[in-house]
Amino acid sequence: MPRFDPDWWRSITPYLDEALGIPLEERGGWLSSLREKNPDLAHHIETLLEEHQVLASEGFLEGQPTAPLTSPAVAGDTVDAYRLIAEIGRGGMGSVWLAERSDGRFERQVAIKFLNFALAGRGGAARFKREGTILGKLSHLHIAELVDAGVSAWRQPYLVLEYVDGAHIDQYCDEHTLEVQARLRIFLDVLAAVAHAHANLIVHRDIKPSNVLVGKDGQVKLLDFGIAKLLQPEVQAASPTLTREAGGALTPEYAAPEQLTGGAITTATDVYALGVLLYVLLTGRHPVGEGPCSAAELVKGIVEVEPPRASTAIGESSAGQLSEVRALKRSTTPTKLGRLLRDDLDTLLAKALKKDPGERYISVVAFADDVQRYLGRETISARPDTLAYRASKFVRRNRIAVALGSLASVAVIAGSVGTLVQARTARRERDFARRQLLRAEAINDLNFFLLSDASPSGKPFTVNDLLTRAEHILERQGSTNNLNRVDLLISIGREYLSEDQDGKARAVLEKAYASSRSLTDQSARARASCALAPVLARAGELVRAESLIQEGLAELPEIPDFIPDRVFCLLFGSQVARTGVNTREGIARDQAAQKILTSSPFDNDVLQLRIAMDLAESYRENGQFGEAVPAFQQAAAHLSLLGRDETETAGTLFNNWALTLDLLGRPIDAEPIYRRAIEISRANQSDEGVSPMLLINYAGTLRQINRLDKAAKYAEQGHTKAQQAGYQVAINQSLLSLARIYRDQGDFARAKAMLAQVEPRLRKALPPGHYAFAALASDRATIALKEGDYNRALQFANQALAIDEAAIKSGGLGKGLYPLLFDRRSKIELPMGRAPEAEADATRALGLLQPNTQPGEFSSIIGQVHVDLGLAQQAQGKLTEAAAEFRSGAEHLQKTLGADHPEARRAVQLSQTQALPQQP
Amino acid sequence: MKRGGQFEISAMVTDVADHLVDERELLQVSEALDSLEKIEASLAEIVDLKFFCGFSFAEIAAMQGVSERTVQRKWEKARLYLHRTIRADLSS
Repeated sequence: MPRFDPDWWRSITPYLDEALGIPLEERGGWLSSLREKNPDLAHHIETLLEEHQVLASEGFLEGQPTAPLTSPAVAGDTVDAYRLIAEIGRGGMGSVWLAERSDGRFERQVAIKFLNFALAGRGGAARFKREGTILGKLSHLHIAELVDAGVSAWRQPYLVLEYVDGAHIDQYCDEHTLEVQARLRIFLDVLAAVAHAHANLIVHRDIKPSNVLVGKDGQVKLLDFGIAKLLQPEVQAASPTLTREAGGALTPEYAAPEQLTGGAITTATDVYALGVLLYVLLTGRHPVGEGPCSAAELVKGIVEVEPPRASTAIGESSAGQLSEVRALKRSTTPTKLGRLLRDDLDTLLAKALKKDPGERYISVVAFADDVQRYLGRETISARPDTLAYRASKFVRRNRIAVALGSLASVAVIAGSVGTLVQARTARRERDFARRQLLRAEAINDLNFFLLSDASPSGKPFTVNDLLTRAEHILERQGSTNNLNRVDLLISIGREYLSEDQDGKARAVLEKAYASSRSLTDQSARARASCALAPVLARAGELVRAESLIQEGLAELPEIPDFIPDRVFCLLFGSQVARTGVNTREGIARDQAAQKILTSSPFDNDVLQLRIAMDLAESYRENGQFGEAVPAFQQAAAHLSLLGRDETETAGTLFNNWALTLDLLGRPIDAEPIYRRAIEISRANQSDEGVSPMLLINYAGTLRQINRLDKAAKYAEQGHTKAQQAGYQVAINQSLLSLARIYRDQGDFARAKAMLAQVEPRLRKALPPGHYAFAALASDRATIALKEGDYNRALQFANQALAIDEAAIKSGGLGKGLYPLLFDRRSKIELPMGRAPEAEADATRALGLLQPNTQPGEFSSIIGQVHVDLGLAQQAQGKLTEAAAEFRSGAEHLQKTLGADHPEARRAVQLSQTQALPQQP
Repeated sequence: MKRGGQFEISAMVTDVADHLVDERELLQVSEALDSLEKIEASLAEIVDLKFFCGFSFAEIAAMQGVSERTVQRKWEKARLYLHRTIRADLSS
């Protein structure tokens, strides 16, 4: 037999496909006609088909890769110091034997559990014993003691456990027809046991009725903490010590969603399983549903479907008789049982059974507290889901139901493949599974920014890896289901875009668009059109981008069913418009999206948040700071409504909100919001996680409210971080900020050094004539003024104005800076004895600023201009006018900088001295 | 299900398989499967699901959104490929 040649295989593959698709009895004819055309090929195929027959009859690969590791133990054998009495159980994990000490030192009987694991590596046995010892330290009235752990002579690991002669908790409760209250009291003992384990950093991970026994004395005993994973990182880091080799179908009835989707296993995983257990105890049925279902159905149910409320679940049973029986077992009637479960117990179970581990009870203790409160007739802490929450879940389900359907299965497959990795190539497959799953989790959330939160932006590699994998998998799946494929491609493309990987995003989104053309589903077609548009806009292809948005919107019938898609298209349309610097149209589209969403049954906080954030950003970009602030406020309110005010999204939102307040001349209001943003990023990650830009922005605000030392500290910190990260824009910002801080501290030399350092960097990064050069010149002017070099100062001030004017004329940014430049020139002109010019400039500045300020709104910038105008008028003897300006200035500055700020005090002083001559 | 770190057991229904596949064969299948994945990934995936994960043809068909018949045909082909590869490896 020659070595197998893949090329040969590839060449015959189409014929083989065809042959295998032909019914057995027709193959002979097919082969003869092939033989006429190509005898060689026919011969090959014929041999293969014959081989195939043999394989089929032999049952090649028909079995399961079950390990040969079955316990060869027989009664009478001794294992360590124990003599086996009888096998009392057998399951997928191994067999359980009743045993007693062979040396007769104790009377006590034990259970020995032989595990169907092969120990990996030579250190495996030692490690197994060591970990067993740790688990053995778990001592609790309601936990079956782990007496010992070891490896048998035939190299099978075993656990020696306290022998519990009892019934499964659900059976026990039913046999004793325990009513709800009594069941809850027993359940509290289970909670106490798990809480104790958690306190010892041990997660059970496999809580189910067969692991919770109730003895004849009514005492609860939890078994099998032996399989728990230790939470300590060093233990976690040690690669798997044991290899599972048992095969068979999975029935993960008590598994939490994250166990199926490859998420982190934490104490919340046990909270979920406890929730399922309680659900079963109270209703007699599993939250996923009744009766047998396939592994795939079950998994889908766990990962995807919200369980019915316990109170309704009891009546849901198709056979009314079953409800009767179940109620009877609880010493009540179905109606009464339903009433009993409604409200508090429903809420309590729903909280424990949340798909998202973060939404469940924060600890088993908290869970137990609520059960206690219920038993004590107190108000429980869990709150029922609000309507908005339910609505958002509904929309999410509708939108992604299709996508998720396939994805959940992919996830499970991946997870299962991961399960058997040990039999195959270990690490590669496991990573694959994990990433797959991250993806599945990510897709669970409709909104893009939620996705970004799920995969912290601090780790672009991970996200990128993930996306590449996801893309690859989709490719492997082929075009079997285009509808799902389009949705998934869109998600992946949007993720790429958020990672600024425009090239990859575009390729994926183009693919989604092309696939969607063969579909009739209007929403998929529209979404694919609209999702492609932003990346094109970013590449400068505005015309095609805009036409895709129009195409997408035109695709959607004007009926409520398509509202989510319409909103989707409008939001993308807003992005396109804004990229094309048509901020106004962007705002209009956001507003339109907000309007139709608010009046629709699909209204949900997540989308509203997204729109509020978009709007706030659009306003900010358009210089409509006054409108931006309430939009930010609204977005922040939505965030906390969603319980997401600790996420990175929140951090960014707070930063941008504060920045807007800053630009509005409200540093006192901005300061606490920046502080909040910093706190969030610190809480989220470590101190390192705080963005340098945020630190620098914060420093700028601190400088304005005259906390110069603290400002210098933050700006320097931001500078160092920006340098470490190679974050060029932030380095430039930090240098500019430091220049201003040093200047205000009176250290002109250092301030000038900062500006000298930043200038070449700006020249390299920005087009000539960018308004940043106006800001730079203006900073130089201010330093020269402070140094008393008026001529030089004026020269710089004029230069600044010229640059900014040109920038604005050519359609660039710089409008916000423009009035400030007039005010700064006014400050220079005054000591030069050019009071009328100074007055004219200040008036000009005020004229530019005032239209953008609502009456009753205060701004430190306006306050400053009022004071400067007053000074110019005072110098010309226009005392009454000057007095009015000083009063206005004082009011603005006190409100925005604080009464103690030197500028505010000076303004107050001026207004008072100026008022004096008017006194009789 | 294996989830990295420590060991973990989930409830299993182990209908004791008629044909146990021995360890050596398992390793060969693994390797052959890796090469199959390079040539025809969709075949390799079906083997993963069927042989290693124990899903039925019907379940696999549902997951992949194709007909059961297609899955079965692919399975037959994959099996043939694997057998050929393993035999070639043994004889070389």
